Amino acid sequence: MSPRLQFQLLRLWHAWLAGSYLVAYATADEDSYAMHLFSGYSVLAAILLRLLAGALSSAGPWRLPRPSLAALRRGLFSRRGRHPLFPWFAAALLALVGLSAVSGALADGATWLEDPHEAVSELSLWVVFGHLAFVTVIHGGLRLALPSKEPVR
Amino acid sequence: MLRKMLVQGIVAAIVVASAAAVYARFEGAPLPAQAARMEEED
Repeated sequence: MSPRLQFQLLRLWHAWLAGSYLVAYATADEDSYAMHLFSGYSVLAAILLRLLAGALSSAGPWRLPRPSLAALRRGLFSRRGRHPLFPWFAAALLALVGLSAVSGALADGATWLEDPHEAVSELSLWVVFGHLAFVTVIHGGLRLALPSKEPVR
Repeated sequence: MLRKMLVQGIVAAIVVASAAAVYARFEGAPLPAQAARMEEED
């Protein structure tokens, strides 16, 4: 599979996860329990697929994120390559959203898991907000930092 | 690219919400708007 196709599939997966998460969060109410159940299982399926694909690929965009403190120290103030906080955010989101989905699925049978499920889900939302802010700042910042294509007069 | 990913996420949310609504109908559960109406009637 070409790297371009792999990247496009990863973006499709990202849209699937983001869309399912959004619906699951928005329907976390007794009145819309069936919709919450459906979208929650959709989140769980997306996370499981990502973990499986990550475990099977040793290189490329589907490889699982590997956060490293050394890379963070090295690359935090360097503008070369990908920002070292990306794998930290990716790992945190996979772990928290995954935990939220698993606890939700288990809470269907074990009702004592309902409160932990709610707490993890609330926490994951704040990490999602952080991820959004980070990506916006990094891409916006890069656009500002890159030299303009227009010729200097 | 950010805008494209945002649009893709929103489209996916609409698709998932539609599929979830269809699932809810088959399960016999009221949709959120119906549930709110029923609550008001009660």
